[in-house]
Amino acid sequence: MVFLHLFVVNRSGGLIHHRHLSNKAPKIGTNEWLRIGSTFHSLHAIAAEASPVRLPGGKNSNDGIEEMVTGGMVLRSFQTRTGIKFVLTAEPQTPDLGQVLKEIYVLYTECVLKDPFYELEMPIRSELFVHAVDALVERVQNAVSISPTKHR
Amino acid sequence: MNRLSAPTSISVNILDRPIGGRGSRSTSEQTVSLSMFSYLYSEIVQYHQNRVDSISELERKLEATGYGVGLRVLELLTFRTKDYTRETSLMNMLQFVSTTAWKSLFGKAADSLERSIDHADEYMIVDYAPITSTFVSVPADFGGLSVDAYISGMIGGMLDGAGFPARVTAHSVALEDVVLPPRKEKAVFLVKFAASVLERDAHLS
Amino acid sequence: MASKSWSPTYLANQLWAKQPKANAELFALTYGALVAELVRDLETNDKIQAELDRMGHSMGIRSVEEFLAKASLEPQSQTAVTCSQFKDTSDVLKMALKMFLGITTEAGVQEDSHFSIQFAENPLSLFVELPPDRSDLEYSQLLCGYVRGMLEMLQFDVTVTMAQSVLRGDEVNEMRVDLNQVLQAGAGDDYQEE
Repeated sequence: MVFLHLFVVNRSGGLIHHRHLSNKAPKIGTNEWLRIGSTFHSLHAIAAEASPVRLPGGKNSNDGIEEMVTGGMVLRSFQTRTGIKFVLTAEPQTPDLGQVLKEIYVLYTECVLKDPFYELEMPIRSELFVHAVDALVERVQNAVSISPTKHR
Repeated sequence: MNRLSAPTSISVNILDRPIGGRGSRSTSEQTVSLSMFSYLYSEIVQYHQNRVDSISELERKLEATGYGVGLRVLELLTFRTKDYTRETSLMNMLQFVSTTAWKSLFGKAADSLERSIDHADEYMIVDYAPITSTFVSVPADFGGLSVDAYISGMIGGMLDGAGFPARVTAHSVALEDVVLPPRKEKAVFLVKFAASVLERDAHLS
Repeated sequence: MASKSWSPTYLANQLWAKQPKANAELFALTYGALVAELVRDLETNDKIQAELDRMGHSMGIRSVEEFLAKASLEPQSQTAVTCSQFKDTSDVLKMALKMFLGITTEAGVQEDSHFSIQFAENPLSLFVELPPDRSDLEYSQLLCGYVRGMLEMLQFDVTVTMAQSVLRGDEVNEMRVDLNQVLQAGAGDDYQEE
């Protein structure tokens, strides 16, 4: 039940934030991160176009990759209506990734968008955002470890 | 949609209007969301940042903005308490600022009012969560900038307007325990009174 | 899970209730201090309004993100927040103005290409009287830019004006929103079939 990585991609596919959320997360170099960011952005868009079924809402819907389940990890992506993607990876069976992503989006609007020293679309350097995400992850992981595993 | 044929200038003299708008509800209790204040203040910081060349100049600009507001706040609060006797005691004035004014502006009294041990002319007003820096992350290379300088300007305006001129500066100090994540710092407003104020206060007590 | 979706008004009140608050007078005084500085720095009404509009726009594009983020955490918010048509934006606007400024708005004219909303109190202009030589200054231009920014993020290019303003002597504040064009959403376009 461990969160591994968080990364954030802006509207034009640029990676604006990446970090590991636990010691179990594999180390990823900066260049690799940039590749991951732009690759995911492209795949996300292609998936939306390739999908045989459209979500209601037409052009403004958030089609695209939402979840990837693999043997070693699960990836969950949340695209905001404004085109920013928040992507979380975690160990398999980690619950509530969607909910955590929504809360991270809220933290972004609080600690990044209200920071006068942050420039839109640029890499996120707001310290408060990092602390807030840490606090959120810790809270969620502690809650998960003391409550019985939910059946899905 | 009929527009009233209005003259280009306001017809009702502002002195005749109830303070802070129409309606029976006093505007002193009216609120907006903290977010709105934060967005507005963020724009003000950025506006000044683009027009100055140094960190200290930025702080001074923010203080200057706050100073005028401080003068007005003093007038408003004095009017509302209906007590028009001028405050003459330094301690009482500081209490007024750190409790009455703070409660009105920020919803609660300041966390503490302290007197400096080393300097007789210095006092500190401490706030663990000033609203000017709630969501602000000052970059490391901005060396100790405090965006709470707006509040120190307000304090300065209030004190000056009441006849207690002082130099007020804002300092971000690490919180001992992280009481309010994600905040890591509290604000200490350092009030350094002009010599004349202390002399006068010594005479009065 | 056939649950009823919340009305925009109910959702707006929920969001407003959960927002931490700041003193409205402090907000108004802060805005007043900003306008006074712009008047000193920029001198002409046009330049002052352009800067207020730009700042409002910057605030609006951020506010709408906060609105969407917090609304998505509310259980029954989905239908209330759909915004695929220009007409729906007046609901979003109503919710956002309540959530951020605490103001309750009434719907005015509602056409396909424009709509207007009315509100009694303008939090920006508590304590304000325009001096005679600035009577043409749109004091609330920040609010116009704010709405313009919000709707732009929802893919609508609009022009926003204060059709009526209490500061100018009108009975009520009325904001008019005119649709210029619907903007296209971004990245997926690169991958569309020719």
